Amino acid sequence: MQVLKGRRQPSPEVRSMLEAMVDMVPQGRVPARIFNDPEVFELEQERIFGRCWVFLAHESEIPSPGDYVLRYIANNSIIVVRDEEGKVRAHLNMCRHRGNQVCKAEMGNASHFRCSYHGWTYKNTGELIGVPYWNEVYHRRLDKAEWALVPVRVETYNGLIFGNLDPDAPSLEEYLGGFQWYLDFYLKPGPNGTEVYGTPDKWVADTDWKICAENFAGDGYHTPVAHAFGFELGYFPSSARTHFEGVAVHIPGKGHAIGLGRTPGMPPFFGFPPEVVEAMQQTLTPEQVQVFSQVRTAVCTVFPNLSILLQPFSRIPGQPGVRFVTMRLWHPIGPGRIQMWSWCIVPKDAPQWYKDESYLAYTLAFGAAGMFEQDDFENWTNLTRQVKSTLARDLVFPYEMGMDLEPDPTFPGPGVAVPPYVHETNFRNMWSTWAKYMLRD
Amino acid sequence: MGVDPAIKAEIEEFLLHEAELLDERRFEEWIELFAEDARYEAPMRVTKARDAGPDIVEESKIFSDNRETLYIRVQRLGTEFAWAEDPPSRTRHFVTNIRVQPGDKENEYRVRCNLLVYRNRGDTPDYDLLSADRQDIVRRVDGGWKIAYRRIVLDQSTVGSHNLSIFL
Amino acid sequence: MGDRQDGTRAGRNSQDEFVIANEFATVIVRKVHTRNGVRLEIASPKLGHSIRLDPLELESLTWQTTETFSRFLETPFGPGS
Repeated sequence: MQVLKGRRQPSPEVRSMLEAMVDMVPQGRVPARIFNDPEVFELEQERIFGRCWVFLAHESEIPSPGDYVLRYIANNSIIVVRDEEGKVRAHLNMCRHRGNQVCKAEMGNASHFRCSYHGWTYKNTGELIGVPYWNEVYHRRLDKAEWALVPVRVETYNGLIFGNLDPDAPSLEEYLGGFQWYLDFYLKPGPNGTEVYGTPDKWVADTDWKICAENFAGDGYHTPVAHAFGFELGYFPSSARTHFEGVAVHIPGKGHAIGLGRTPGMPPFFGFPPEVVEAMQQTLTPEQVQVFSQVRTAVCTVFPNLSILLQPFSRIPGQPGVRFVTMRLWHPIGPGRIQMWSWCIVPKDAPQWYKDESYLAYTLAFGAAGMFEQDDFENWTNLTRQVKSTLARDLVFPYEMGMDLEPDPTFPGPGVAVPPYVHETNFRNMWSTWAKYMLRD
Repeated sequence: MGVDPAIKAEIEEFLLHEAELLDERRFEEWIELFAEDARYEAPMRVTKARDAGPDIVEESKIFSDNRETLYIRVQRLGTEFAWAEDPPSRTRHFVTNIRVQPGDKENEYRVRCNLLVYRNRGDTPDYDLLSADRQDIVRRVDGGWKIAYRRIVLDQSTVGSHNLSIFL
Repeated sequence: MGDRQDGTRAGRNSQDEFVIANEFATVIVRKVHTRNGVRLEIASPKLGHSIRLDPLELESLTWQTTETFSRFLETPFGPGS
C-alpha cells in the first residue's frame, strides 16, 4: 500500500513559518497564514490527515452486517462497512483495476461490491473474488489476493469509528492519550452508549477547518458576542457576566482539548432526564460524575477535526429543555473550504421523547439552519477570506489569553486543567501540536 | 377533481406575495401568513441506489419548526446580533410550476411548486442557488389564506450554502 | 424474464412479489404457485437470469456461508463472464 508519508516538502517559506511556530505558539502567537493557504492545505492533506486518527462514522450508522457508509479521510473516499462477521472495516473506495468508484450510494447494505466499469467484485472484507473472464482471458494468472480493496486501519472508542492512513501511527488509545476520560461524558450516558439520530447534516462553507476546530476546542470567549442574540432572547442558562466560569483542559502534545463551562447554582446534570442521570451514575466513575454533573457546556475537539458539543437547550427560551449533543467533522475540501458533517447523537437508553426533543433542539440550534450555527459560519467565512490577503498573511494573531493561569492540581481528570473556561491555553497546545505534525518529514 | 381556476389564481397570488415579503425581508409580515398550528420542515436527502428506496430521510430535518419556533427565528433576525444576516442576504425566490389540488379538509389545498432561491451576500458576485420541491397545505381563513404546512425538499444532499439563515 | 409468459402469471399476486436492491444489483423475488405447490422465484431483470427454488433448496441456503456466495460471484455476471 502506498502511504502518505513525506512525499511533499514544504517550501522554504512555509518551513520557516512552521519552525518559527515551535517557539512562537507557546509564547502566544500564531501566524494568520495557516488559516487559509494553498500550500498549507496541501501539506496538511499528507502530514495531518495522512497521519492522525480521523473520525469516520458512529457504529450505530452501520449496525448490521453489510451496512456501509461513505466517508472521507483527506481527499480519499472511504467505504466504512460492517463485514459479515460483524467486524468494522474501512477500504479505499476505488476499484483496483482502473480506479473506478466502487460504491456510489452514500449508504447501503452489501455483502459484495461489484464495480460498474469492468465488473471486478469484492467481498465486503475487501477481498477480490470475482474478475470477469478470469479463466478465458486472464488465464487464471491474475493473482486476486494482490488486488484487494486498499484497507484503511480502523479503531473504535465507545461507538466512534476512526480511521488512519498511516500504518505506523500509534494506536487510537495512545493517540487519544487520556482524552477518553472527557469523551465519556458524551459517549457513556448509559450502559448502551449513544446512537446517531437520523443521518448527518451536510453542507459546504468557505472556511478553514482549523478555525472551526479551534472554536470547538473551548472558545467560550466568542459566545457572548457571536451568539449575543441567545442571551437577548433568553436562551442561555448562563449570563454573559458568569459565562467565563469553568475549566479548560488539554492533553499536552496531542492537541485534544475541551472547554467545560459552568453556571453557578445550576442543578447537577441540569437538562438530562432522570433515567439518564441515574444511568450516568453507573457508567461514569465517581470522579467523572463529580466533574461532569456541574458542567453546563462541554465543547471539545479531538485533534484534528472532530468536535463535539453538549449543551442544555430549550427550543422555547426559559423552559427547562433538554441536552443535545452534536458531533461535527470539519472536513477540508480545499484551501479555506470545508464540507461540514454534523450529527446529533442521543443516549441509546433514553426514552424516545427525550431523543426526539434532543434532536429538535439540535436542529434549531446547530443543524444546517441552526440559529447558533448560522452566526458561526458567517464569522468563519468572513475571517477565512480576510486572512488570505497579502497584508494579512504576514501577520500573527495573539494567543496570549490565560498565559499566566496555573493548572488546577486538584482536578481529577487527565491532561492539564486550567480554570476558568475562557482562555487560550487549549489553542496554544493545539497549534503547537499541529506545527509538530507539519514539520515531521 | 379539478380546483376552481379562481381559487388557483388566488393561491398563486398568495404564494407570490409571500415570496415578495421574504425577498423584501418583511419577516414580521411573513410570519403572519402561517397558521397557528403550522409546521415548517425540510427533510434531508441522501445519495442512494435507484431501487434502494426513497432518498429522503424523513427523520432527519434541516428545518423542523412549528409556528412558535419559526417566530423565534424571525425574532432572532430582529435582534442586533443576527450576524448571519447583517448585512443581509440578497435573495430572490422564484416560485414556478404551481400545482393546486384539493386538500384533506374542505378549506385546504395542497400546493406544490418548484422553488429556486438565489442568494448573494457582501461585495462578491458569488451566489448560492437552492432548488427545491416545495409542498404546502394552504388554508382558507377568514377570506384570506394561511400556510398550514410547508415541506421543502432541497435538490441537494450536501447543502450548497454556508448556512440557512434565510427562509425557503 | 421469459418465464412471465407461462401459466404461473395468472397466479401472481402483487403481495407475493417484491424488489430487493442495492447499488450493485436488483432482483425481483416472488412466490410462484404451481399446480401442486410453491416456489420462490428470484429474477434479475438486468442480467435476464432467473431461478425458482423450492423450500428444501431454500432451506439449504440457510446453512451456507458468505464463502458460498463469494464462489458464485467468481463470475460476477453469471456463467461465462
